Amino acid sequence: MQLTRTTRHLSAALVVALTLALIAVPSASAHATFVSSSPARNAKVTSVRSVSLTFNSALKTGSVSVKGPGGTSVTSGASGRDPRNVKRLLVALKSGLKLGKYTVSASWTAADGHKASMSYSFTLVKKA
Amino acid sequence: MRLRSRTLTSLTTLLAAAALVVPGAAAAHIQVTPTRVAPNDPVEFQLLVPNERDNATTQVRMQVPPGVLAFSFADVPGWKRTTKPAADGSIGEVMWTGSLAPESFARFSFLASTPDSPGTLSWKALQTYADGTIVKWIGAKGTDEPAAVTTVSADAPHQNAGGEDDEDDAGTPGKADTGGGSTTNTDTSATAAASEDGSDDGAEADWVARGLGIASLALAALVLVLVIRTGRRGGRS
Repeated sequence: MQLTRTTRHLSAALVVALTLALIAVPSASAHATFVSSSPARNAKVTSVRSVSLTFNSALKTGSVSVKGPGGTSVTSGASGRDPRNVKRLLVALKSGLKLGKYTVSASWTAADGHKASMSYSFTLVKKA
Repeated sequence: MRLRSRTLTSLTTLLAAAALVVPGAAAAHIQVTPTRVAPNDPVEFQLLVPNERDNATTQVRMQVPPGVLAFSFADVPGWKRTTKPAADGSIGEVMWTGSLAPESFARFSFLASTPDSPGTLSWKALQTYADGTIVKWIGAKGTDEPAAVTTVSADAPHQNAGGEDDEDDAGTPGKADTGGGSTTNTDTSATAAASEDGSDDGAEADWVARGLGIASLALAALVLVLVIRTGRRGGRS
């Protein structure tokens, strides 16, 4: 089968278009992606002393706030990177916490400069 | 004529003698560039490793200075890389294994975030040769085997090798959707990238790249359809 000139031209255009599509893909950077938290999202726990969030790569800075059922902050002291693990954010909580829903909000800057944030909840329930 | 040739010979002999007398000049040191960086900046560093001996370099181990957060490494063909963590869980040491011939140099690039405050970074490194020699680049400036040094200075230019927006974004804790306890990792979806923050050069560049990519793919699809149709019509031989 002889390729007509039109077909050849169109094929060439196809190659160019596909190449452009590949080049246009932005290059990957090392954003820190959330991996896990303690307490976990939607977990029901009978006690909680601190909240930690772990990511898959190093953070430059970060902060965590936790609000209790009344809507007020229940954290104790400053939040920030775990001194033993730059991939983790940590904050201690006050004692004598009320039962109910707690909302964790975290924001951070990854080593590559990318900023992101997230939010989730867990529930403090009565010990059985 | 004779005089000139004799002068030339003398000169050549003198130079040759001088070359023998001058002590092992400029055996090239391990270097790290840039030598001057801004604080709190993602930088692309390059570790330059020259082979100064008559047998191959087989391993390079580099200590990441405290406060430096290395997060991405160039893939160097022919070299395998492993890392060891520091006490704070960051990458503390990088080890490259491969083979570097005499009269050659290898270049290992990596991205790292510089410390928050000005100071001096000392890039201690160990260079192992095939004959078992280990050259320790750990000395002070001016010694035979000094560690490469980078100065962190507040007035050094920003490199922003991460390509992210420099502006201080008041990362909005609590703003994200909390309805069902969802995670809003704001960089993982197209709409999130656009709404992440107002003035965001990074997001704009992302959109240009995505737009170009989408347009190219659409064009490619169109051309593909036309090729098939033309082929069918004109192809019966």
